Amino acid sequence: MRAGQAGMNSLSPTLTALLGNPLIWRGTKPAVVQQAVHRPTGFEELDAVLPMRGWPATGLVEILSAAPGLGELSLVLPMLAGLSAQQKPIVMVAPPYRPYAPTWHCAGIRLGQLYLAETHTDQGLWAMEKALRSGCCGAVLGWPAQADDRSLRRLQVAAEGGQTLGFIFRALGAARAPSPAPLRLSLEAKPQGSVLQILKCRGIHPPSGSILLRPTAH
Amino acid sequence: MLWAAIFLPQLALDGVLRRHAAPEAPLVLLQGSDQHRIVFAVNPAAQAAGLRPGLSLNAALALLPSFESLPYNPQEFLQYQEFLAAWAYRYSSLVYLDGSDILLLEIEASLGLFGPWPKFEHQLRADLTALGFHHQLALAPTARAACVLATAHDGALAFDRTQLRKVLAAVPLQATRLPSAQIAALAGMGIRTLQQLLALPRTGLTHRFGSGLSIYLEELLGDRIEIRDCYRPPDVFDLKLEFNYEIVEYRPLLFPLKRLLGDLGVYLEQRDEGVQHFEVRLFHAEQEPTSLPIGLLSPTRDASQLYEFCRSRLEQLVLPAAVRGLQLCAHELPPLPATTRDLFAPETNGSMTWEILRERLRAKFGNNAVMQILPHADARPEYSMRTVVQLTEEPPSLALPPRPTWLLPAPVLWEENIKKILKGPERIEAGWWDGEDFRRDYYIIQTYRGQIAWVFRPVGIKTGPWMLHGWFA
Repeated sequence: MRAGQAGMNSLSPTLTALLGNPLIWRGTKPAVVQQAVHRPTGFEELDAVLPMRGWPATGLVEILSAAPGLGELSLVLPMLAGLSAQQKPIVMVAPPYRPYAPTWHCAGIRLGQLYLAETHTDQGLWAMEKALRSGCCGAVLGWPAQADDRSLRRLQVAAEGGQTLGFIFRALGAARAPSPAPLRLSLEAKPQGSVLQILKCRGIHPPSGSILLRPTAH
Repeated sequence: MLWAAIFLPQLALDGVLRRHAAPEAPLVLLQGSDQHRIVFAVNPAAQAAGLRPGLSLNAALALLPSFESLPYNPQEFLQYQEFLAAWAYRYSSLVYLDGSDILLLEIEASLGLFGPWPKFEHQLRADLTALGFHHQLALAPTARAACVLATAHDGALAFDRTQLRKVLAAVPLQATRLPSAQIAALAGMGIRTLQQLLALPRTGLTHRFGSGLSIYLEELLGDRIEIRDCYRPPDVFDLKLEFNYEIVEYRPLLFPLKRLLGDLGVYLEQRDEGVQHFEVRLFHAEQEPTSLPIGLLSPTRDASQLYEFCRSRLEQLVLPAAVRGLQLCAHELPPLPATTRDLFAPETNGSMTWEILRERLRAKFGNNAVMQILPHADARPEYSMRTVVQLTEEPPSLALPPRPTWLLPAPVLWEENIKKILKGPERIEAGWWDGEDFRRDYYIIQTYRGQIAWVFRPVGIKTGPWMLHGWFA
């Protein structure tokens, strides 16, 4: 072991330097991601498995839900409440229904920071990309009906460029298609309740277990 | 104080000539009634033919059978005066109009910025030549003397009062801008230059001509402080550009538009104001002008932002005809609220602020594309929230029975079976006051697909389909 390590060090100092780069994950143990901001999801079980112990600071998060009403919004509300308290605008681009203001207000969202953007039907992705790239929003939420790999990649690049967190909500069927989003979650109804599964997460192997988001009432 | 006077010997004619296609051909400006027209101003070609101001139209026609004549328009004359005063305001905050043909600038304070004088003078002359106005310039320590010198002798200079006396000595009385009756009376006394006039005893002059003349002389030499009303730039911004050619597409309009908005930005900066509502007008040859009103959610004076908004609106405009002119008017110039920045506030990453992004989205998708929501005190779910363009204050917190996060725009029939009633009924019965009343029993239910929904049935109906009104998403 010692010989091997010494051998590697003597062989290639550049390689060791390269392996020290935090962007490289060797897959043997979960990556430790140090973020400037810590954004807890509000769900302890989820925080425990995510490498940054919360939502990523920037980039695209995909939430795939089997149907509306499984708790897909409750997943992001605590984080949105936190962002709005920091006076960061939250933009919902072409939501499928109307966010019910009294409930959102009760959930701690500062409504002064919540903006609904109504776009032309095929321009939702354009608006999302602009909002993500601008770097002035706390979070950008979108419900794109048609989103292919290319447009998602654009969103991901825009989110990274603007250092903004973007959420896209899609149907569960999209889980089969590959996606450039660094974090993908799925929500399904199981007998025990709404169940959250991590499909993909940069820095860890997706855990096989799932998280019970909203237990069925008995 | 040092005063620069700009004498504009033919302001009215210059105003006409600068937009005239053939300024070389003989041209006269006429004034007076239809029966008795008098030549008001002539251009060099007409002058060469012997025409001069004051001739009657018939006499002029006798001298030169064909020339172009235009009516002298005092309104337009004033407009050029205003225009030049606004131009001069760039160089000095103290700009005065003396009579109809002199522009006065206090330049001592401006010399630090534009000076020394020869350089400054060159700049002023270059600007005026580029704008197409004939001019004579003079510099003097008193305003009155600067006016006299500019009229008498182009380029006259006097930096202090000793120099001033010397320079003034040679000025003929015709150039003193005194009333012509006084000039004639003085000429009758054998007085033809200012030197002679200044040598006369003041008391005698006051006896003969009243106090006006001696006040004039004191002001001329700087023994008395002259009080004038200084020029104030107008409170509205209105600039128009005319093209010599037709523009059929929006792209070539962008550059002139950018220049106009740049001027607007400079103007607003000088006044420490912003603009929220303004109008871009496109002029056509035969049609009514196309108007493009632009309303922003908050005032700004950033020319590049303004350009950005105008540009995206212009892009969507279908030009009804070729464009011949472009006008920018801003009548409301609200003061810009002072912005304070936190020294330790985190830097934003992008170059854009939310205000700009929002304007961009509004420009593309319409003025009501970006909205905010707030709760409204009404028990009926349909009426319990409102949308506004800008939320001014955070609504008070309220206590609610469980309510969904998504509300459907209108209730829809839910024909699937439900698995379980989780909560309910909650009776909502309201609206008898405005005719939109209903009585409903709301339930929170779970569907067979695991969804949690907010549904209702009208009161009294125990079976049959549910109406879906929201999702607990």
